[in-house]
Amino acid sequence: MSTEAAGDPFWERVRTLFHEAAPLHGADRRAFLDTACHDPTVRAEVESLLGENDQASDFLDRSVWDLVEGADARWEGAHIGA
Amino acid sequence: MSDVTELLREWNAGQPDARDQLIRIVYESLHAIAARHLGREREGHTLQPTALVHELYVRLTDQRRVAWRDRVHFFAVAAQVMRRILVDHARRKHSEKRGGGAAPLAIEFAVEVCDEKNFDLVALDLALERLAEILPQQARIVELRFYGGLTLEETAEAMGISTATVSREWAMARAWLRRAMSVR
Repeated sequence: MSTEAAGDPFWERVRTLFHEAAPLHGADRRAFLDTACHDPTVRAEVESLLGENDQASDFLDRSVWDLVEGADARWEGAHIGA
Repeated sequence: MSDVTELLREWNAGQPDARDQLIRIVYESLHAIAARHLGREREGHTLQPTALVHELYVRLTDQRRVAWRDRVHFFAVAAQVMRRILVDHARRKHSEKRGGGAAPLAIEFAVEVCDEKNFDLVALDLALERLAEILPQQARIVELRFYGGLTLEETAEAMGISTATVSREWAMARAWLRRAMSVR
């Protein structure tokens, strides 16, 4: 199962750098990327994803099952009211 | 019912037909369970987030005979089925404007909830397909978590990796998918 983790070299590079840079911020992050990444395409990708990750978001926070649960309660409410 | 155990075993052994059969069985059972949960005679008024999948699992398998590896596969199948059901419903809804003629399933309401929040299930499905091509492990994590309802810990156990790894890969997968879905 772990063999499938070894994928595209470009994305493996992006993945590694993303994980290392994610806990860093501001100048620390820039300094890290200056040293660790010399490919501008890789860097642009990493920075774009980090920017996305830095924003607070509830995107995908609730699973489909949570949604089903909420919807179920609503369905019942609709029928009580009907 | 017990042939599910056999099918899981066959799928494990690399027989793709077994997977398709499993998906069909899980799909049908999911409909039956959801319908029952929505019936008048049910006791509770909510579905626990993962209770449906667990109930499905208990119903379909003889747990004494199913190895943990098969359980993992089962949850992977259930997540795939859920994904397919949702995207099918979302597509149909979009093409027919106001819902299909199917029985009121909790799933259809989940699709509605997504619509109201402007969460595009079809776009997520397509983005996830692209993610699977470049970072398959992350795509699997999303599938197990979002469609399978598994927690970080359960996902880690299912995939045989650490919770910390799941957490990190999940964060990047989320960023990747959110970006993919906002750029159109």
